[in-house]
Amino acid sequence: MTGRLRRDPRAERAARQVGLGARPRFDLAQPPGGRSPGGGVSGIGPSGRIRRDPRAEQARLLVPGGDRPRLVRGGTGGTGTARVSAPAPAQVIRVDDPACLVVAIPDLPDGRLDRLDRQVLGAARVLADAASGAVVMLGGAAHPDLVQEAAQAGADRLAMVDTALPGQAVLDPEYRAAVVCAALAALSPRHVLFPDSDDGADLARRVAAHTGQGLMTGVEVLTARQAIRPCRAGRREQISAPPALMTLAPDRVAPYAGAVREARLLPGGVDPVPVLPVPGRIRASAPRAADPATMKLAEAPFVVAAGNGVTDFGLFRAVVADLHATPGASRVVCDAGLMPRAAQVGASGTVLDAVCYLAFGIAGAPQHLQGLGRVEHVVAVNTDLHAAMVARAGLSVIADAQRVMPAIRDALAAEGG
Amino acid sequence: MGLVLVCLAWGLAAGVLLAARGLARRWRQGRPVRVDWVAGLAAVPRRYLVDVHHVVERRPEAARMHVPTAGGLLAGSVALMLAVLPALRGSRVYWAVVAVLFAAALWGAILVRRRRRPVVPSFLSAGMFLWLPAALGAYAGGALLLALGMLAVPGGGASPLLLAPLLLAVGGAGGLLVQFARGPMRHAFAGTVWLAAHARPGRFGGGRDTALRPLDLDAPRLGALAPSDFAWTALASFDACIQCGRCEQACPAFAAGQRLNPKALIQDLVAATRGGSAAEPYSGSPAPNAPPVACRGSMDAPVIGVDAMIHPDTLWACTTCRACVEECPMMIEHVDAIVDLRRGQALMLGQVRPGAAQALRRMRDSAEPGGRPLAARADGLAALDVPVLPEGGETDILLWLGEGAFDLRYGRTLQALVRLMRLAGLRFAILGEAETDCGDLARRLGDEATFHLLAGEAIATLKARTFQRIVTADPHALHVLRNEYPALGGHWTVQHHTALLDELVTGGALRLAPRDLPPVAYHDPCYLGRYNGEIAAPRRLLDAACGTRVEMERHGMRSMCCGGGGGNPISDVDGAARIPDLRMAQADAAGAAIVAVGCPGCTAMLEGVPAPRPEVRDIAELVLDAVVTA
Amino acid sequence: MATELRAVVLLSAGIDPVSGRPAPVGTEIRAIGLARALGARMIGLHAGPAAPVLREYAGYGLADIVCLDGAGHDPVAALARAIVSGSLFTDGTVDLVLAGRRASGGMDSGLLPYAVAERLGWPIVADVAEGQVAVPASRPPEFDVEQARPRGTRRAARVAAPCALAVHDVASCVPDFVFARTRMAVLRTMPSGLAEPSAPVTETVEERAYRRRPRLIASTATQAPGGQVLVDPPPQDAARAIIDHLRALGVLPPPAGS
Repeated sequence: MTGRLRRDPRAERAARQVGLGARPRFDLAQPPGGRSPGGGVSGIGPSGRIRRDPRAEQARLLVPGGDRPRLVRGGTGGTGTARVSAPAPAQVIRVDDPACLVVAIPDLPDGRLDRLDRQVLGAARVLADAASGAVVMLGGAAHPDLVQEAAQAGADRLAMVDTALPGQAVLDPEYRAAVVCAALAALSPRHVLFPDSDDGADLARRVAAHTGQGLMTGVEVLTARQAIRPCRAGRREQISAPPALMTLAPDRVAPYAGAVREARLLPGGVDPVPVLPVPGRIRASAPRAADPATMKLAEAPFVVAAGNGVTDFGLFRAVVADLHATPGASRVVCDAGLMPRAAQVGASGTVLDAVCYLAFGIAGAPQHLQGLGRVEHVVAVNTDLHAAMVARAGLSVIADAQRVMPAIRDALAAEGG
Repeated sequence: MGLVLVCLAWGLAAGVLLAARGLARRWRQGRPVRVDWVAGLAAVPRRYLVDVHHVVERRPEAARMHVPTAGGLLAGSVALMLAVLPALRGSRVYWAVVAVLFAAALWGAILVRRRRRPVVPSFLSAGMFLWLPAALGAYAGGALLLALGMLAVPGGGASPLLLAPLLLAVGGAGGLLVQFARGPMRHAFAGTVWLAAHARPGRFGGGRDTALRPLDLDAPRLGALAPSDFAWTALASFDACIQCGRCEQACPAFAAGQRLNPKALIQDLVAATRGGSAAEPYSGSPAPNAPPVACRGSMDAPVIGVDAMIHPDTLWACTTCRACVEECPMMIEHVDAIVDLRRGQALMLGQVRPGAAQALRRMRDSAEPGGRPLAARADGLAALDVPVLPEGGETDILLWLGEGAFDLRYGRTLQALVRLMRLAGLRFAILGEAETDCGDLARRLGDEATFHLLAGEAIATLKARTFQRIVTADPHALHVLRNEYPALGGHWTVQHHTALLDELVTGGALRLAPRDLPPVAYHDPCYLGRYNGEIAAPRRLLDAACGTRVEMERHGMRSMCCGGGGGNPISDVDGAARIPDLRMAQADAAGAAIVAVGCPGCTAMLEGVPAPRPEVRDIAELVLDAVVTA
Repeated sequence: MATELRAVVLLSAGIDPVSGRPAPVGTEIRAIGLARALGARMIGLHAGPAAPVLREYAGYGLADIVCLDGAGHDPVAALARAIVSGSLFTDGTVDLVLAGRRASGGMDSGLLPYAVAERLGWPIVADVAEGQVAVPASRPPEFDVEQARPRGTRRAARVAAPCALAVHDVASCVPDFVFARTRMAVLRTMPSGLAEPSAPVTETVEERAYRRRPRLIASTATQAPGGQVLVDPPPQDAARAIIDHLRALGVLPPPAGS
């Protein structure tokens, strides 16, 4: 038996037949192995490659409501394997005798696969499928309930190695790297993929430096034949065959959206446990969340800002605190000394990198809007329907900010009590 | 008795000379500069009687005070000194003349007193000024009485009756000497020296000289950190300040409470040269809201800093609008002083405000203060397909877009301008990606090194292309290209877009039909008006394009800044109000529904004023709306 | 502190991402700032020929810069060799290697500080947002550093000298740029001491101009302008709509009761 999928054209045809008419009718959009649990947006084509159905994908991105079709790309409702609850998978894809292994090492923040982790597994899937290989997810020993999630994200195997220092609260990135190196040595994979997050990139570079293998960081395009990454300050790009070690830039490769994988557990642990020549050289604690009230505006995920339409700044600060947000302000407000200069949002103040920006009484001068360069979601509360901020906002409330702010406080207080 | 009076006059003169020597000794600790003394001294009477008087007479009551006081005192004292000639001493006509002169001086002293009574206006200083009228009055009054006595008793005589006036005159003269050596009266000597050795002689006789002087970047000390780093003539100019407070009243940063008072700045510099707090304390209004400083200083000690004389915020509040310079009767160059100090802070210490530091770094790294790609500058004109002048290319008019072109709002102005130029059939092109920042912002912030870097690149770019003239809608770029590049080897004819449009309308290439618009007020950009004297062409255009035009109280050469110049917006100096808000309120008060502008800085600043406010339109937009197409 | 720290700052001849002009790299400027914050004496180390842009680092306070000649084919070996050679500081060995977390202008892989640390056998902590010498002072000195993590979170770490620190872009320790200092910069060239490679190094990686490609996430630039608009709603309805919207975006935690 080879590692290649064996196809049964008859069974595939039967699975695609719809209804029981006089003439047989077939739904060719349906994957040959039956509907995937996520509602089925793709299947395995005759060549064994993932087939995409752009229409179905688009339909799944459609946001209900509104007269204009609006699509939400990315996000949990995006191209990720659907979280939609579905009946137990009809069929699990197994790869019993892989030609090679592709290892994905997710970050697992909070013990779950995050967005980028799923994309890393998706990328590993691309490489493995082209070479009739298997995807091994490495890590997650502390989270045994990950199996189901990993299977949906495309892992054929699970190597649940424990990268935490035994019996210690502090984290040692050197120990983690040593464990990963040992595990990789045992698996001898063809490719290893890391997320290009802070932790993932750190681990990848440690592994690369330790093993002396080449590392391609921040890969933006990944196919079976080539990997592309920016270089020279992002003005040029490198193209090469996928190397042994790679970190994957966020939101570049779609997560796996096919049928559930086996996620077979490999014998756990690394044996023997690696011993560092000098243990404990780096003692790191767990990350601690920043206090939104005092964190740097440029890094804050959620900023609530006041403009000319706000007159009661005590109330404004209270609303910001209730919303667990970081306070910001327009130039007018800072010039008047009503908010500190460090809170100024705009071209001459801070340029935000927030997920969401809630603007109370800010019309949105061009200089100010330049400060919102990378903000994904804007909410505007303004009396002027034609304000530039309203045009930029995903949700606009045409009302007096001074009246909306207490209502928000009341609503939040009512929930809490 | 006559001889006693003569002695008094000569004694006063000797004392004045002695005090003047002390002043001169202090100034000589400044940086040496070459002065053409012959031409300078020869020009003093004309500079004083024409140029200084032109400024003083904007406030007639000040002129009415100054003429009898200065004229009476000076002429009377010189006349008394002439009494060494025995023939004069015996002449009744002579004594009558002396009496008239001192009567005038006494009247002047009374007027001087009236300026500060019953209350000292906020823009005037108190301190030694409070007893200056007494000293003036005592000297003039005493001398007057003595002259009358000489008139009454020919030949003189030691009448005991004349003893009291004599004592009065002696006391007054002593007071005046103190006022001269340590107080405001030194302005008479310092002002004369400064008028003779002025750093910008081109300003006299109705001329203009507003370009900053290039700095030798290889000099051991760049800019001014201590008073001794200033040119000695600048030190003299600081002593020439009579604290009349006109600069303070004109300063937009002062009006907004932004920690700058030009008068206090000059007086703080004077105090630094005299040893900080040991000097005569400053008694005018301070830099508003400025945190307290240690008031320590000396000729060679740093002058900027909380442990020195001047708070750093004061420097960065200046918009370099030159309103203070325009109003100063002593022709002091405040902006030069501020830029010298900024140069010291920026080049020697790297002490600029965070926003400015970021902009300067971007200018060094990517030749653009906003860090935007140079190719994006012409994005606003993409739909109009304006040709780009390649290296070695040739055209009639080169359109310099400037920094404002990155802004969508100002892109509309440029679109209007391009449409008008097309309608007039002009042949023009832009530089496209080859246009780098002209360096205005870097230079005003005192970063002369970055300015030289940017200017060198821009000059090389321009020299590689052939054109008749440069047209720009940005007065800041206009000023740099027209007035400051020549010193670096770039000579071109540079025109503001309002001048070009005026030329086209006057010449008939564009026909305008005035539209029925609500009242329009024109806001003069500082760098077009005060820096380049162009105030007529924009008004002619508006008269041709709009129905009714109103004037704000401050307009033309005495217009008020929008707050956008000199790096003020990126320096973020805290204040009590915002300069553009104040300016918009003035437009409102003038009854304007539309404020016409001609500068991307003014557009951005005035459009940033919260509604309700008059609409902001560039002149090019208003002209395009009014143009009649055949 | 009994003895002063001796730090080496790894410098690259960077280019500006926007303009492509030679420019100092932001994280390396911050590395200089961190060295100053730690009170270290520092020498800049550049694997390659002296480039004019290196002078700009002097403006940020790094007056003494050593360029390693002939290091182009193996910068890691050249840098490590120079650091342990003892020839950089006259009075002792190097305590600390500082670098930006990622250069800007070359391969930009961020691997070099790790490779140098590995070669030296020193620990490396990356993404440093701020750092200080740990109290109580010890010998060898220890450093308390804060690592930047996404969304403003921080992770504390302690590491002892000798070590390498790679500085993150969010570090606020940006030193002032002083033009007068650039005039006094000393760029020394030292031989790297590496043998010339026997065969010329062949560049196997293909390079071309960067192409911008759409990300999976919809960027704000392509998002259809305007969304849901509520005109003059009662304040209670407005508050409810805003709160629900924020919850849907995941920026506001769900109510405590649920």
